[in-house]
Amino acid sequence: MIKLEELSIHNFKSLDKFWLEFSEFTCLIGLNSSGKSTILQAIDFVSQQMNGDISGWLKTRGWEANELRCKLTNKRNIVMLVSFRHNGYFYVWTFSYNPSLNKCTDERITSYQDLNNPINIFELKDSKYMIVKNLEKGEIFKGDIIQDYEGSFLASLKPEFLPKVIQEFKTYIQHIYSLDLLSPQELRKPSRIGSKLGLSGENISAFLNTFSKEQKDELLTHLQKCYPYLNTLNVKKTQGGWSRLELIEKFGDKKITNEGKYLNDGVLRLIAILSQLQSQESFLLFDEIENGINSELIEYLIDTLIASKHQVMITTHSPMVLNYIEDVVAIKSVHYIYKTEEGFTKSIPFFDIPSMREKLELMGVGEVYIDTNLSDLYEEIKLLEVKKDTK
Amino acid sequence: MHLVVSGEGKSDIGIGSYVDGTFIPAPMYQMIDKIIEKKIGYSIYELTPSEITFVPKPELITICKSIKFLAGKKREKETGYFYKNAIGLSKIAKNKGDDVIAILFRDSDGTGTSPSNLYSKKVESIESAFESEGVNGVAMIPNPKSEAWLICMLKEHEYQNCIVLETRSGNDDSPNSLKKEFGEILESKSIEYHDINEMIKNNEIDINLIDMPSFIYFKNK
Repeated sequence: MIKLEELSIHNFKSLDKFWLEFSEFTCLIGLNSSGKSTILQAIDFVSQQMNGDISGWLKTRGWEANELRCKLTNKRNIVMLVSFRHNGYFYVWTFSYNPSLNKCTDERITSYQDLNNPINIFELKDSKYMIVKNLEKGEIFKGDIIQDYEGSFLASLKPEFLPKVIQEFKTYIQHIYSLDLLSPQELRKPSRIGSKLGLSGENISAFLNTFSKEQKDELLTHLQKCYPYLNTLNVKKTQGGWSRLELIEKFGDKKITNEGKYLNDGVLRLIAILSQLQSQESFLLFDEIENGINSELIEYLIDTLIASKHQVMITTHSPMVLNYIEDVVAIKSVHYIYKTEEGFTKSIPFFDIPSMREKLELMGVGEVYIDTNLSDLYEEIKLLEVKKDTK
Repeated sequence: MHLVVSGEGKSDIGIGSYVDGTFIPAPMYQMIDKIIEKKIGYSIYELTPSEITFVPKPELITICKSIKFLAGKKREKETGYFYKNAIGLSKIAKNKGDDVIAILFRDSDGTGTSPSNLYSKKVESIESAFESEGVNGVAMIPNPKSEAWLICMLKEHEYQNCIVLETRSGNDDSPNSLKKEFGEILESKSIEYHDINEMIKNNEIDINLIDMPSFIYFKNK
């Protein structure tokens, strides 16, 4: 079982020397343009390294590879460190992505099973690779890189060449799912059967079509808690390999069928979010989770996300969303994202800031947030940084 | 007259138990007692100690947790913590009869990082909470913290030019922190912290000579 522990990002947009710790549930807060969405994009970028289709990903987002670099530094490569646990043991994946070549030119996974003696179980350097498939049996693959690849070298390798930990880690990273562009307009559209759920929520009906009956029933149960009149959730197949979403409501004996294109934003967003929770265990990202969601449903949604089997990360501007997070959860999971005077995005656990911790003693998490003048908060954070540096 | 008081801890208002009514005062309480003595002619602590209700900070926090607060057009940012504390203290004060004064002590810059304009916001938020609850209450907010008032009375040229102390940071980690300076003064005069209680009580030091706006505001209230 994989759990992501920490991410360090260097030279990606406004992120450089940036660190963020993950819990089972992580919540990012901060002013507009502080870099919250950039963090989500960076995590999606990490996922694309293992999917090996960086060109396609850039095209979807309408970006150029060279635009990914931080404009505040002169560094060439984008470097990231992803630390994770596999069955309790600690590992770190480090990669250096060259935007001009569109691939990682330096990469390793280090195992800290023996804390005093960390070893690389995968290494890529100077166009040569090394993979420790099974250390006890002496199964170590080495060689020159002859194939072309995009992103991580691991993306181009078949599972049988990889040790179990890397196989599982690769799958986990591939299944990181970011709904950072979730758009009701896209959710309303019909989709081609077999297509993947997109960043904006496009192809939702095709995605739901891949669900087993149990998954569909569980999704319906979740939705019925929010919409008591909801009776059925259907994916209708139409001619030419297309599918569309359909919701049936029941009022007394009367059933009313609503086609996807007529559904309201909140219902569609809720379906997209809750359906993701039925998918394969992974890391799910939701930007501005509260958009379009009725305040009465926020508590249910937040409770569901926190209790989910997935690692979940959300961003929010809503004090109401925050007020529904328990103090003990908030202390480790709420991170404040801010920009330094130099323009870099940084993060700090919100309740590591002494004045915020003091307020939390008698205020709800959202109350603390809305009662705080965030512009002044930077002054306190700067003092904390000075203290940390002095120590 | 009944007094309901709450502070940060043992070095300002004092320590004690809300349940059994015990209270061991500290210098900030002695200052309160002195100011009231001048008005009513006797020390509440000496003559009618049962008329003092001391509410330790943890108890006050427990009471305040259930009070809902959101900043908005009608309530400025950075005032909620103080507002809720004052509402909590008001709830206790209301149960102590009609002739009650509630006094809430908090440092203006407890963490050493608050912007300077917060002093007046904090006083306002506490007193508006007392007012909304219909309680006769006063905010006791040394600017930036209690050590500033005490330094004013004990420093080499006592009571002189104390107004500059209000421009200092409340940060205890800074090289010239008020806390450090206060410790050095006590050491140089061979005074223990608890001796200050007696010094205020016996008029060895005169609180009326403190010329700092945050103190004068409190005294006149």
